[in-house]
Amino acid sequence: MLTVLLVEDNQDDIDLTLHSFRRHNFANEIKIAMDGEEALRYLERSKDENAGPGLILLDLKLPKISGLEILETIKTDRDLRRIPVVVLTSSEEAKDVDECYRLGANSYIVKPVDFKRFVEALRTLGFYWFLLNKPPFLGGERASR
Amino acid sequence: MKFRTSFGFQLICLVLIIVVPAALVTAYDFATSLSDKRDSSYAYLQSLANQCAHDFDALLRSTAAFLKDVSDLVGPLRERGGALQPVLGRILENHPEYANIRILDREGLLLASAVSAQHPVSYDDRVEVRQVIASASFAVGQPALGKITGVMTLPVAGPLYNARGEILAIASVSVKLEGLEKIWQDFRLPEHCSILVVDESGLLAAKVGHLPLPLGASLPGFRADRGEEDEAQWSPALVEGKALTVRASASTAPFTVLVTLPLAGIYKPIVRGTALILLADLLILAAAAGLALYLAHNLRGKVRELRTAALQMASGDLDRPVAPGGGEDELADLARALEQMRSNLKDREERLQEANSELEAFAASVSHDLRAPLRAISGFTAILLEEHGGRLGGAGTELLRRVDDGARKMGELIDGLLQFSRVSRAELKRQTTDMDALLREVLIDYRPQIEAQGIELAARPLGLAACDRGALAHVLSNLVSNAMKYTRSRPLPRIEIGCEGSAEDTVYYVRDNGIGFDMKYADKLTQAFQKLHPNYEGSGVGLAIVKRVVEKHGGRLWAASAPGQGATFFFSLSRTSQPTTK
Repeated sequence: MLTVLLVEDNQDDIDLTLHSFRRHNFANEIKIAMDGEEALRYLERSKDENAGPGLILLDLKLPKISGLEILETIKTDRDLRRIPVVVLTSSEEAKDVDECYRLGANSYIVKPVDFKRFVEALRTLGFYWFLLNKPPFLGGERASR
Repeated sequence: MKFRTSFGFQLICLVLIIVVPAALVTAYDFATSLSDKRDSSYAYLQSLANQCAHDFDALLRSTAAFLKDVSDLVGPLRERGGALQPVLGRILENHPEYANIRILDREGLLLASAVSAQHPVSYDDRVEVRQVIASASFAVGQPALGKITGVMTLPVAGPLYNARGEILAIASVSVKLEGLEKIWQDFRLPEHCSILVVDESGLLAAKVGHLPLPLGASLPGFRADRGEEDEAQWSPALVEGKALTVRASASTAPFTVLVTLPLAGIYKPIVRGTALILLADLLILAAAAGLALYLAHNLRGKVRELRTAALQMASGDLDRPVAPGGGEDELADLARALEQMRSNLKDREERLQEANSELEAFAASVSHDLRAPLRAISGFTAILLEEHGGRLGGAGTELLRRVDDGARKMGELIDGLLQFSRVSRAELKRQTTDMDALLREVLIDYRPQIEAQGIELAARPLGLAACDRGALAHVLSNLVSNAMKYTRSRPLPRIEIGCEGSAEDTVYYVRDNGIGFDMKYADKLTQAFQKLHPNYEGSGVGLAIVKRVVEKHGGRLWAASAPGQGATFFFSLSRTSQPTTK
């Protein structure tokens, strides 16, 4: 089953996200990184262990290293660039949206403030990315080389 | 620019102010010079005439003395009855100024002549001889032109006394007047100046200068008794134009010396000098006027440049620098000052824009940051209600619902704030927009609601406009949505959309028959987060955004309404800004 890396610094948002996934019975393993540094460390490590996440949920506003910088690092890395990155943020700024797609984000989702809509958004996201979408063969491809 | 107020005209006036008095001074100087020259010439000619008259007198006096000498020499000889002619011949040889010497008897009969005569001749008809016979004194006759010699001579006669003092005979000499002419020719006479000697009948006896009148001829119009005062007026009609003529009378004989000088000759140097000065004046005037016009043209060009630059700045274009135009004059200073002003204004504008965008970015950032805690409130309240609702009871559940409601409203406010901030920051992309098509697109979203509410919708033709399509879609959408909102409670809701064009702009309107509002609160309508009807949903930012968009297009937003009478919202878009498709 797809492992998900959630990069999010706000504990409330983490809890609400996890709650939403749980409510809709998504049983995927969700790794949490609370800042950019931690996220990149995790990704580096996962590269060595051949057990990277199949999807990254990325908040833009993060301490230390910003979401955009993480996105850029991932999408310029030969191995990591294949992992789909879904930007999950409060920002509706056209500037942020454009920049994310320019850097290679695979999706951009604005977190609704209203909880009902938030839950609905995360349900749709989970259904699409966890179930419907075919992820890259991360481990297998690496092993075949 | 009127000519009278133009630089060129003023400069030419300045030039005239300087040149015209100079010309007047020259003219005055010319007049006085003429008068002075006339006076001085008159004085000079008078002294010349006096000198000539004096010379004439001197000649006659020396002739009288000569006759006395002849008398002394010839008298005794005549008494002795000796031969006179050889003596006379010898005397004449020593006196070339005389043409002949004759000795006459007391009756006027020729006794002897220095130049031999063929036959005895009587001279008793001669004026001088008759006078000598009558008065026994020295007498001057009439000048005569030698028929053969062509020499003008003046006969002078005097008595010859013996030792006892008795008149023995009469001596007569013919004085050659050419002697005087020779003396006078040596005078350095002014050009065209003539000296004439005439007797009382006007007969020309001697002359110096170029006159078309032969010796012996009569000077036309001459009168010996002419008065002093009209002397100056009379000129022998021998020279062309007016002439200055003075006279002096000889004291020894009724002869008059005339000196004449044509006025043209006197005035010529002055006229020439004045003409040169006036010509120079004219040249200076022309040059100065030309320079004035050139300067004015130059000045006008520079001023026009400055004006263009200033107007450009006034119209808000601060990007083009003002050319200093070269030079170190006041206009260059002005251009530099203008450029300084432009650059200051531009700096200020940039700082203002910077401050504005900082403020807007701040608003955006704060709004984002506010969203997360709101989401937490909303989220955890919902979870609490769902998972632990049973334990809270009715009152507890109601309270949590109120918390959730508050969070939702705050979310709307934040969304409104963000939207407002976004619209404010967005750059307009003007293009020619089919407003009818735009309205149709906008109405698609509202169709279901329009039908559900049973709204009668009247859309009049709107034509084309030069505007940002997206921004205008927002404006129309907002106004239509407002109209729908406030007609909801009406039994026969009606919305009309149309426009009225004028030369400068087009005024669009959205009219409803909804609940309306009191016009005294009209200015509150467009302030962000101000709501006149608190029971209707919405953040109160919609009209503020509409106003901002319209104003960014250079237009205006206003409304007309009364409570219960419906409301009409107007906005204008100017026609003057050319449609651009950037």
